[in-house]
Amino acid sequence: MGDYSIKIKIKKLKIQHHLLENSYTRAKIIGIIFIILGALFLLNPTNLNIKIGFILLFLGFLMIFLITEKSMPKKISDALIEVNIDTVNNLIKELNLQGNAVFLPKSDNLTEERIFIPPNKSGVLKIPEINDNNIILIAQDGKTLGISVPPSGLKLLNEIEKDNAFKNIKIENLEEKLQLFVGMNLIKSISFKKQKNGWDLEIENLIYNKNKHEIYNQYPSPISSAAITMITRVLNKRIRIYTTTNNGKKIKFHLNQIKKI
Amino acid sequence: MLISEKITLFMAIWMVIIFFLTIDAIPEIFFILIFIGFLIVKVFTDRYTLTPLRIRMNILIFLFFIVFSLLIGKRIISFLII
Repeated sequence: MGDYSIKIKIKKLKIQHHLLENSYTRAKIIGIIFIILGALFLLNPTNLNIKIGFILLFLGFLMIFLITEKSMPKKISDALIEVNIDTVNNLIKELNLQGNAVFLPKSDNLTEERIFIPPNKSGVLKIPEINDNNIILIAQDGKTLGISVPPSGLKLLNEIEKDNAFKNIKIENLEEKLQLFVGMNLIKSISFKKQKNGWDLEIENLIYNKNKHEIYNQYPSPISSAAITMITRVLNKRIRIYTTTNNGKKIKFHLNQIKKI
Repeated sequence: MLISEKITLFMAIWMVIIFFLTIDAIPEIFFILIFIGFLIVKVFTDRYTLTPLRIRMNILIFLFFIVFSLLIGKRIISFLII
C-alpha cells in the first residue's frame, strides 16, 4: 500500500515537473496568473491600479493567445531530418550521380513536386517522363537516367501552405512570401532576386555545414529545399540549381529555368 | 525565439515604457498609446507571421477596438453633458 502511494506521488511530481519544464505550458500558467492579478487590480480602480491592471490583463491575454506553439529542442528535430537526407545522399553516391537538382512542378503525372538528379553535370539535360512511383530511373539499355525523389522540405512547405495558400502569388511578391521562413525562426534571412539567366536565392541559415557544400547542389537541406519548392510551385516551372556559393554565413543558390525538350 | 514570443516581449517593454511616460496622465491616453503600439507591431510583423497567429492578433485588435470605442464614447458623452 505504502509503495503504491509513493509511486503515485512520484508520477504526480513527474507530471508537475514536465508541465513546468515545457515553456508553452509555463507561458499559459503565467498568463492566467497575470489575468487574475490584473482583474484584482481593476477591482480597486484608482488611476494607477487601472494602468497596472490593464498591463497585466493584456500581457496575460498575449501569453495565452499568442504563445500557442509547442516546440521541441532543435537538436532533436535536426536529428530526425538528417536520417532522410543521409539516405538520399548515400543513394546519390551509390549511383555516382553528378548532376545538380532540378525541381519539377506538379503535372499530370506528378501529384507533388519532385527533385530530379541527372547523372551528368554538363551536356544536354534530358528529363524522362516521371511519375509519383519512380525513384531510380533506368533506361531500356540498363543505363541510369537519374533519380527522382521528393524534396526534403516538401512536408514543411505543405505545412506552411495549410495556413497560407500560394496560388495567387505573383513573382514580385514571392520574396515577401519567403519571409515566412524567417518568421518561423527557421532561418536568419532570405532574399530572392531576378538575374539575367535566372534567379538568385540567398539564405542565411542558422546552421550551415561547409563540408556538405556539394550536397546543397543535389539534395538541399529541408529549409532551402522548401524555399526552392515554393518558388517552383509559384512559377510552375522546372527550376534547376545551377550553382551554389557561400561566404561562410550565407548560401546563395543560382537558379535557372529548364525548358522541356 | 519565436515571432509570437518576440511580439509579447516587445509589447511588455512597450507597455512599461508607456506606463512610466504617462504615469500622471489619464488612463485613456495610456490605453490609446498601447493600442497604437500594438497596431504598429501588427503591421511590421505581418509578413513574418502565419495566418493563425495573424487571426489571433486581429481578434485582440478587435477586442481592443471595442474597449477603445467605449472609452472614447464615454469621454464624448461626458463632454456633451458638461
